[in-house]
Amino acid sequence: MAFASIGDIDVAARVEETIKRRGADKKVVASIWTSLAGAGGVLAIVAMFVTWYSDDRTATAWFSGFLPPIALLLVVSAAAVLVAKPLRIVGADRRVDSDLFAFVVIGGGALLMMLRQLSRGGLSDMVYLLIIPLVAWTFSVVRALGRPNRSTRLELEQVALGLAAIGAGLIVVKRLLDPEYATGGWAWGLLAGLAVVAAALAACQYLGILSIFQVTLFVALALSVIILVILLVQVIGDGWPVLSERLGDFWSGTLRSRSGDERLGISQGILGSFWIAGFVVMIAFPIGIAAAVYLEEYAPRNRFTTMLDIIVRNLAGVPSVVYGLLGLFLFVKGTVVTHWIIDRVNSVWASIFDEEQLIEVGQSTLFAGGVTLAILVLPIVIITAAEAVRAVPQSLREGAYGVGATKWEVIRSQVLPFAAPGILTGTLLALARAVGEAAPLILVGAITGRLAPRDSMFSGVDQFFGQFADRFTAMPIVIVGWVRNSGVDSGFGPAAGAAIVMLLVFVIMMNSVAVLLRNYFEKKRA
Amino acid sequence: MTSTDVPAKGVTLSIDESPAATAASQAQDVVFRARDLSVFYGDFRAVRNVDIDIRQGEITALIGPSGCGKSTVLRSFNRMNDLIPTARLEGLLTYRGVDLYHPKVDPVEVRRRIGMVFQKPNPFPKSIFDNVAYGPRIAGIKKKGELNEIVEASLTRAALWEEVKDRLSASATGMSGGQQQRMCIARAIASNPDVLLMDEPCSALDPIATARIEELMIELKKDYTIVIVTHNMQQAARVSDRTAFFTAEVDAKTEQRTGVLVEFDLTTTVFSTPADERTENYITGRFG
Repeated sequence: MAFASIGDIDVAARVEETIKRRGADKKVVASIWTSLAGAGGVLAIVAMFVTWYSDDRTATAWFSGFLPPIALLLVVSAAAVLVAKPLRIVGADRRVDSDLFAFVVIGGGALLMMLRQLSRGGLSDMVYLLIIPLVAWTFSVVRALGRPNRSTRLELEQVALGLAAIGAGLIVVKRLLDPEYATGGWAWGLLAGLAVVAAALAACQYLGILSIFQVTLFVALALSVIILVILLVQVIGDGWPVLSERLGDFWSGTLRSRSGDERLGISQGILGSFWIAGFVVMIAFPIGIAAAVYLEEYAPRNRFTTMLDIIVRNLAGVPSVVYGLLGLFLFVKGTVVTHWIIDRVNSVWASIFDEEQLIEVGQSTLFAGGVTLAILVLPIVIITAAEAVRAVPQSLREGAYGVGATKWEVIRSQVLPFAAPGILTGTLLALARAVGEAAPLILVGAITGRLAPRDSMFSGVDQFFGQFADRFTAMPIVIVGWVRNSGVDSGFGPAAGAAIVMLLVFVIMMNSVAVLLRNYFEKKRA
Repeated sequence: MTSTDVPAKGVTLSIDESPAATAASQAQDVVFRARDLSVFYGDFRAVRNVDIDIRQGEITALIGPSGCGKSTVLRSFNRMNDLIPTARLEGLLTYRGVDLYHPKVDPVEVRRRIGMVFQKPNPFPKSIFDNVAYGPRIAGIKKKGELNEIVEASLTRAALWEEVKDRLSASATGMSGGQQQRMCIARAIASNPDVLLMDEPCSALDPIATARIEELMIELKKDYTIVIVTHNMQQAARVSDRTAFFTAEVDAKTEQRTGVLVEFDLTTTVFSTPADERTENYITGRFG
């Protein structure tokens, strides 16, 4: 029929339409398949490292509980998209974006798995909680990578897809055949290698990287990501026994002298790190931002302020141990001045709470640790905040001055709001650094061994403030202590790994808050 | 030309009349009077020996080639040059008989009375409403109703109200360049100034937006004294009542360029029968 009436058809329009449709189809297929290939690659990398670095027990926990469901999900979602596309449920000309569709399938599958696990008797090993964020993260990263004008070529795509599909399929098959999953061997290495190649090809495809030069640059970039992945896998692998078996107890437990102790945990470390972060926020942020505003807005440009600027920059590069020494002398051993202040504080304390003394001279206190780290990051806060303030366009200042704003009004209503995203980013990075520091805390006397906790910091004002005068510990210190002990008592190794994971989660959460806040302020100034 | 709606605000700034200022104050319709005015940036003299009278209710155009100091002179009228740490002024500059650079004069107060519109539209990254209400707010007006009135009146005056009345809470940076510049004019008007200084207000705009701003200036002339710096001689000829022609003199030894006021007269005179040869060369396009 169509051939019969070919004379009436506008051939050019037809061709154009076809090309358009093909282009749209290709794009959708490409993005889905490459996403899956990328995910398969990540999976394979994970599998590879687990195989290489873990003992039997860990490997079994990983493979039976974690990897196969994800691989299965990937395959199922790819199949779902393949089926849905010809049925015109999804696609470029439909309301539902294919990626979204695949995402929903994966998310739904993960949810189902969690529910199944719940009905089986709880989420005690917490594994399945990790599935959804991991899959979502992989997807969003791969999708984000694909944003800028990608040029797609189907052949490479298919190669990548094929390899990744083999990788994912092998994982599933091996799981079906061999429920015990002994340690890997050559098959796993080959599988992982295949999938890594697939992922690399897929990534190059996505980014439109075709020349050797570009590939080299990309590899340089990828190296840093790979290092992060290695680190994560290693650490998670180390800490897996603890993370999967007793996360809840580990979270609420305390420092113990033996790793076999059921009450071993990180609650004191978390609390200490939390308060240190609190000190940084309360001390370093206001002082740092105020100093930056002074330097950029008020200070005259002369030799003295130039020198100040250089000094601050150099302070930011001073090794943190040196700040530890400073903290030790100023806040722990104490000078005449600090002793005098301690006496005054103690006498006031005694008159209010009828207790002997708050601070003991020569005592390492949480206060000392917090203030030392606040001083440590102060130069970083100043520098980043000053950069942000400097980046505020002069035209904004002029506009505000032009209608009769005073200097302070200009700073408050124009400069600070505009600089807020930059200031926030810098300050929260500084905060993350403070939370991760161990060296200065060792010098000011953080505890690595047993620590008697206060009953409750909220049971009274004196208890609340009293904890700042107590001995303390912090997450990095806990980790250092456990790693050091692991030579004597091997059970501390997994504990240290789990603590590192917790610290990373803590830092990532803080950085996420920073990103959210920055986005909020950026939107506000747009 | 003299406006009737503008009250006699700004006739005195809140200082004691200095002897010099009293001597300088003469005719009521002179808004700015510069005598032997020189402006320095550090050791560099940007303009020298300027004598000029800006009259009430007129548009005065400052024209001249680049680097001739016309913007510097304009910025000294509302003490914007104070923002540059090295800037310094010699000679006398009075605003309605008051020495503008008298130590007791508050530059913030000066800028409230003498509004300014800049070369590039510089909307604050806030809503249109907040932009226009910025001046009144810092002047202490808090009541929402009063602010609403001021914003509507200012935007109407700047011929922008009809275009933006339904999206006052939208971000000002989302408007077109011409709209942004008119909003900046509205923002300047909202502080209820006496004088509007415009520093090449159309140089970043297309011809249509430029024409609208020019119309607006002629409209605003009823209420405000306007001083405009422009590179565009046709613009000066179209909108201004008086024109001041500046040029740069190059020092033979130091090769520094110092601006001088060559000629200041009615626009029609400057453009038809200029007294100075340099002016003629410039406006006929032979130089600059």
